[in-house]
Amino acid sequence: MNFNQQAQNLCRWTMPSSVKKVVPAFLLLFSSQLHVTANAQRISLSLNKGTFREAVESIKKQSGYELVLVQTHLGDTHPVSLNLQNKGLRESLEALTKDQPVGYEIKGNTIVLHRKKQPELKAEQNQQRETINGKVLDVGGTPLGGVTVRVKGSSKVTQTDSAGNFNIEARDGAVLLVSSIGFTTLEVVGTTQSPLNIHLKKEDNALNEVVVVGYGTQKRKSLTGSVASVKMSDVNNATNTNFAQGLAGRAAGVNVVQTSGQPGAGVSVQIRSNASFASMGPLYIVDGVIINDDAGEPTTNTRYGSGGVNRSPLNFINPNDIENIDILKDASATAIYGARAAGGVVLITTKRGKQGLPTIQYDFSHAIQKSLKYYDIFGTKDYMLERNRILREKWMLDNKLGPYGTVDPNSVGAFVPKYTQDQIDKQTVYPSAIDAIMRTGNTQQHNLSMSGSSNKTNYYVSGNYMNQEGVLRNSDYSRYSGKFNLDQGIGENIKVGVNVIATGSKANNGSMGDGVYENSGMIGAAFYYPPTMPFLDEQGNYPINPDYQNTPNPMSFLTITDLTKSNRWLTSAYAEWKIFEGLTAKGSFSYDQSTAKRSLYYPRTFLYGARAEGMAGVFETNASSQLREYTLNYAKDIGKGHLTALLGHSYQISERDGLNTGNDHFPTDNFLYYNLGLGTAQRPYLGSFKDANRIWKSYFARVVYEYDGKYILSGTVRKDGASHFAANKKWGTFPGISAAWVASEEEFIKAIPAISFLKLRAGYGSVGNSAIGGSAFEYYDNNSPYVIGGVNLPGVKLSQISNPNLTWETQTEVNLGLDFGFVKGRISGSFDYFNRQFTDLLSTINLNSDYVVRAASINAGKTRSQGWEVSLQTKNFVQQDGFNWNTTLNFSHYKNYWVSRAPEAIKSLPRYEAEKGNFNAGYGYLSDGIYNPATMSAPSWMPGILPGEIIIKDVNGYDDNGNLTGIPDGKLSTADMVQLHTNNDPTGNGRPVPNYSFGMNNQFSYKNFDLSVYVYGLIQKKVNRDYSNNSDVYAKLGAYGWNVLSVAKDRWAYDHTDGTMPTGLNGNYSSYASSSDFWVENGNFLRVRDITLGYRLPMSLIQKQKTVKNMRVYINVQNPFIITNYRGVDPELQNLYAYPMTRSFTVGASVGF
Amino acid sequence: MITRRKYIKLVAALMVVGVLSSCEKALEEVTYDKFSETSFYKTKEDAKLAVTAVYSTLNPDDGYSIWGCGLGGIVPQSSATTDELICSWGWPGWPMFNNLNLSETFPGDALFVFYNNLMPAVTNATIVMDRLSGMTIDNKVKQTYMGEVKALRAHYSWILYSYYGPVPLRLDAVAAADPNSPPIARPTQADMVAQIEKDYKEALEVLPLASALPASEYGRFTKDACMMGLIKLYMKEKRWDDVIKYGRELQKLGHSLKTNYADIFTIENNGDNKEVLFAVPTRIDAKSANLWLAHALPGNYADPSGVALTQWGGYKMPWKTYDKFESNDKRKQRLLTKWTTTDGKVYDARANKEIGAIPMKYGVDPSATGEKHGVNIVVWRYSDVLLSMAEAINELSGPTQEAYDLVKTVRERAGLIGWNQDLTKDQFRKKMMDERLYEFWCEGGVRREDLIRWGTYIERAKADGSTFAKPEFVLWPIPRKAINETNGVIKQNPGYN
Repeated sequence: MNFNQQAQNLCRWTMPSSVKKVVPAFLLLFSSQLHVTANAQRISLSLNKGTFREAVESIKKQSGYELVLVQTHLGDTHPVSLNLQNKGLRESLEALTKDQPVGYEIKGNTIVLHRKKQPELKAEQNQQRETINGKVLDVGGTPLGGVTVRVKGSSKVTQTDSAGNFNIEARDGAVLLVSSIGFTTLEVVGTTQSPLNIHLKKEDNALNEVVVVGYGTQKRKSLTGSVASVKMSDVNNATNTNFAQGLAGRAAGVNVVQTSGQPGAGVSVQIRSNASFASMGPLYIVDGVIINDDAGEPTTNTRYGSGGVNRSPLNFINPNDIENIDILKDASATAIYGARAAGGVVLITTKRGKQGLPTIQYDFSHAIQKSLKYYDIFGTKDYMLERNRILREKWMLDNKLGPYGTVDPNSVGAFVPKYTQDQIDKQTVYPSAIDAIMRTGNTQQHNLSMSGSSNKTNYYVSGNYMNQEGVLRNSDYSRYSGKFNLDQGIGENIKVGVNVIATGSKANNGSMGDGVYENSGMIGAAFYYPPTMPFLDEQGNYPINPDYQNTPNPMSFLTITDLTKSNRWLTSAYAEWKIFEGLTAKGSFSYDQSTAKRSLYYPRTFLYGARAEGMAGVFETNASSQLREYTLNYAKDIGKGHLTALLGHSYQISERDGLNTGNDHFPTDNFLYYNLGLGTAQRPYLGSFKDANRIWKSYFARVVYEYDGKYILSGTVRKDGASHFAANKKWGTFPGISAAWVASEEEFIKAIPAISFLKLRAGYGSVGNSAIGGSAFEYYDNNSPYVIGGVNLPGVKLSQISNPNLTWETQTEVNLGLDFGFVKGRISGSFDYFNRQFTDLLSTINLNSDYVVRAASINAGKTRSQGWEVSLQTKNFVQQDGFNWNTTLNFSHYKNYWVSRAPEAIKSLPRYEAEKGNFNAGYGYLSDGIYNPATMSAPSWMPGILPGEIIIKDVNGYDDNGNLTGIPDGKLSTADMVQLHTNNDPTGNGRPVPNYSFGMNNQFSYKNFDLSVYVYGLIQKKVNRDYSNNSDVYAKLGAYGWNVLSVAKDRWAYDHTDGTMPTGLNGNYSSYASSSDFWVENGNFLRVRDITLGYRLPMSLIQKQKTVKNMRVYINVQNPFIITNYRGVDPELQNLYAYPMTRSFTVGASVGF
Repeated sequence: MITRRKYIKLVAALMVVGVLSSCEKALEEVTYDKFSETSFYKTKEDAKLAVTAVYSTLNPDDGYSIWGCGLGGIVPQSSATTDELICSWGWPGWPMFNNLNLSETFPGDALFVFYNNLMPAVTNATIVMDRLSGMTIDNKVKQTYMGEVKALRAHYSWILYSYYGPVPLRLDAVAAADPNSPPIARPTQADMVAQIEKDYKEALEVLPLASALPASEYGRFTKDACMMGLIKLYMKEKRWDDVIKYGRELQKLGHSLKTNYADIFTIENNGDNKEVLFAVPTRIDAKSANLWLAHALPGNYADPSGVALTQWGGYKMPWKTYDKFESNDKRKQRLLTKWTTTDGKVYDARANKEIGAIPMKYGVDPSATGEKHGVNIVVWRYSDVLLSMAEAINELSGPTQEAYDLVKTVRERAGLIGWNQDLTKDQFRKKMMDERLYEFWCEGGVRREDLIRWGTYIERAKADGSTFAKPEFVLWPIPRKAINETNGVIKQNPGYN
């Protein structure tokens, strides 16, 4: 008998009045908990001659379990008289079915009722000697060896052979218990008439979870490398435009830092530490297709360039379509992706059609968003008073009055303030310009998916619409995406499938960057805007700060049209052929194409539109990538061992090009960029480019041998060739080897009841990093034009030097891991230690000062990175009174340091920087408080220091050859720089490299309610650039009339000699002060990232109608608060001109049909 | 254990893969939008592209290179370290320039700009000369290009010499092309001067006269410009005979002064070869554009032309300096003290406590839409030839009639009369110090060179209250990077270690 068939029979109501009714409501979130605690439900039941059905319904209702029963099975049931008080579920069911012809079975959270077979009721003495034989297979049809088959109610037991066959002495109709580790134990009614075909389902257990490991899958239990998995169902994606935003803190060793709250913004994802400059980020793979090639955001020819637009290339994947994300962390795991895997590998598995009835799922969410706290800036009156005050300080300095000199105040004319008291009193108070450009953001998402299967066809189709209106006015992002996925079996041995993801998005770019001065974006412009002016004057014009007429009016940014439209199509197809048992060949082909088009128009209402009499531009980029892969997979059981082998070839070619056009001097603003020919610029802007095609060829192989479920050995090798390296350096080979010992399978561990699982892992591997910026070849670029005879002639100069020796950066890693489960899996987790060595470090080094090209990529040395990470899952409360509490926790730490540097790199290394030592060190000067002439004498090494300037320590000096002397030389120079902190970002993008990072998720459930609270944090130091950049109060507030942070009040001044901030005047040592540790702060934080409260509609409500199968509603709040001592606006945000972070409140519902 | 049938199937599968992968392209890189190692330096057009690139170092670019108008340009650095220019912006570097508070940590690495831009430019010039000489193109064209590149190398070397003293120029083509060439020590002053002289003189031999240069080639180095370059060098070296020699040569070439001083600096004067000996041509839509007005014009200034200009309002000439001008000096007309504002009123800078007069200097380009103007940036003028000759003659033989006449020619154009001819040599020199200020204010980087030559550069800063000025600060510091990377083979200038 085929078990699947049996299951289907069970699912059919046969009473004419009833329709097919299944209850699959199955919250992934809770399934495992309910399962684990199946025996703990408390049931009370008091019946006197009630119907059997009544009794079952009552138990079902109390237990919250679903029920599957076939109506005809209820025939012959006797009236029930029972009195149960607070009994367990099994106990109650046992009592109920004791004298009935119906038996029960608990599967997951479902109670299945079935007909008891006659024989079971027969007396033992009537038995005849008979045998039942059959075969045990997994759901996919692979025979399972070593499966225990036991006759229920007897001591007879046997095991299947390697072909899955068994033979056991039992009567016809005997109930067989079929069990195997990792599979759900099954009760099957045996028959002696014909062989049984029993299909075992994999147990839904973290250890038996299937993990995608690249060109295949593995059970978590058998993993030998370090792989983290994130179930997308755990992440609330209501306001996430891409999945990476939801990964922050979810997995140990995966650092996700969000630096902008812009709709569609990208996040920086770093897997483990990276003591490398060539940070190319992880390799992203969607269902086997590498998706790192994207058209990217086009750059404009305006002063803002690509400024202000931070958009993740990953937005094209609808997070709701993702089932799982598996992150390969250590080199033994990533080696299968060789030369491109140094940044780690993120494998994304999208949803596919599943065996079973069709399901339709609809998710809806609506979120409102608010900007997180912004800096406090001066209000109108304070602005005027402080401006007068700083101008007075400047006047005192210029006239050398005390404390800046000894001139007699009576000998100079009186100070004339900028604003008289009368003006200040009469001044209209205006609201903050920052508030004026902000709004309440809105995000809406609709997601509809259909999936199912029939015969040998599995399908999944989905559509998603997302619209996010950012908290900054004029910034929004909307996306339409669709996914279609079809798998079709042909005959027994061939399977083909196609997968299409199509996404179109539209975005208003709004903010225009985080520049300053005349490059100010909207936030900068609003920040600077004097609070003494209206946003619009009486004539309807946008006024401009009279003291600095080059920053556009902040509200005038809203009159700009700046749109980006992007499209991406990812199409892939595969064919799989089972050549013979155990050997499968697979060929796949994918085509990934993307375009992005940015169109912008500056009207006359915008300062730079007015100057150009209207300015328009259209900028386009296109990218495409073809990938072909062929693999051969072999699996075979050899005795107690199991061998799988993989052999493959991959070929990828990527192209990228673009076209840029623009014009200005338009007769009217009416036509925006739709009629470029109307402009009359001297020379309209024209440009196009095409990058050199990037070609990759690869060969790879993997062998995994598992013995007796205890010992696992895995070996991988990949050989990669890339077009951008010089002839003799094109090919690289990257091996990986790892082993694991499942100690808990050993008898001596099995004897310790507290240990439910224990595995030791060790891995070694090497992977490459090929992010050399360009290629290893010499280029001459048109980068040096010059005007001759009134014509702007092109000029061509060497732009890139050839480097025939340039080769991959190789990351070699040793990983030691321990996976554990204690107290029946109530505490489980893993610990990993890694030691990575980066050799042939790819680095852009500065060439000699007199060389034509300033910098080049070379292999510049060796670094090492050591660290550890812990992840822990605990089930704190299980099911008592229906209350459950689970916690997942991760914590990681690493440190990066130099082992050696190449001579070329040492050559241009500043002398104060250690040749070895911390890789992420930040260097600067040591500060020693603020100079107050009243209480101290000026440091002798800082002649001319202004009162209120930061005192810098003189600790070192240079000799005649430029070497450090190690002794203070009585003056300041770069020799006085020292290491200030150890988590500086080596790529200079201002993202600190945290020393420690952690994340914690708590999930609670009570009856139909669920609650999750997710927090994460970093332990780091951070340079407070916002404060240091705002310390020149005179330059900004005094001279330009810009508004400044209200902390400027705390500055040292003649009337505030205990100020905690340095003087607002331009000191004589300001370049030392700005790079001193005065601005280094504790940037530790703990952020409550996400709180979700959900309610699942009870089945009793749903059952009354026939359409909806399940429904859950939830509310969610993101970023409710942060705990930090950091004084800047946000310890994660790059600077105060950047798009602010947001807090959001979401309501949503998911309905299954 | 593989049966024959299985074997056949396996071979078939492998063959399919083999066939499919045979249409793969080889791992070769092909460039589409730039020249590669093997595709450049082939044709006459390539030669032109390469030579243009040597010129491009002169670009005012974004205001941060050689002849630019921002803090990284020669004119602002020259003027701001003298009595000519102060800036009302809050950037801390401006008062530091004026106080000669110079160090290798100067804000924005401003003192390294010339070194970092010109050392590679010299190297590139050496490489281009070498590659040109190996090309099979028309010989006359080749010789002219070679001459231009030599003149440019001399010009770049001269600026380096002026700001850093003798520096180790890459003159050997093989070493120049190798990014890992061993370092060379700084040459002696004599060697540095001889090199600049040699390049100019060789260029001079092959380049056309300015009068023979077609309008379509305007902007290129000419024989006349090379001679002026030599005069600048000889003035610095106080080789008065040589100044006079080349001055007299230039006098024969048909140069003259423009009738109106102000007209020299207008867009109409783009292409002038009579008074202007060398200029950096600009366009509003080119990298090479004139941003002087944006730096100098105050925000409330309304141009009579009605053109909306970008006006950052930074540069000012201190009143003390402005007040030295004779009252009827026409050269003062390009210095604004009062102007009509956007609301139609007349604004008096002095009455409003502005820190100085506005050194407007250049005329407005009517097609300017932002900070970029297309008025050529004047580098060298014929009046400098006349005044340099007058100074040289005075230094050699005292104030002769010829010296007085040369000065007179220049002063008459400014609406002034010649000097009383009763001056001593020293009085003549002192008057010349002021005359050159009136004639060349905020132009050509002249003021700093002049003050250094007269020995008053450091004095000036001290007189203005600087506690930082040191005698060594007549030179800028060498970037620390250059010292580090040569392991001390290149030595820092005195006063900066």
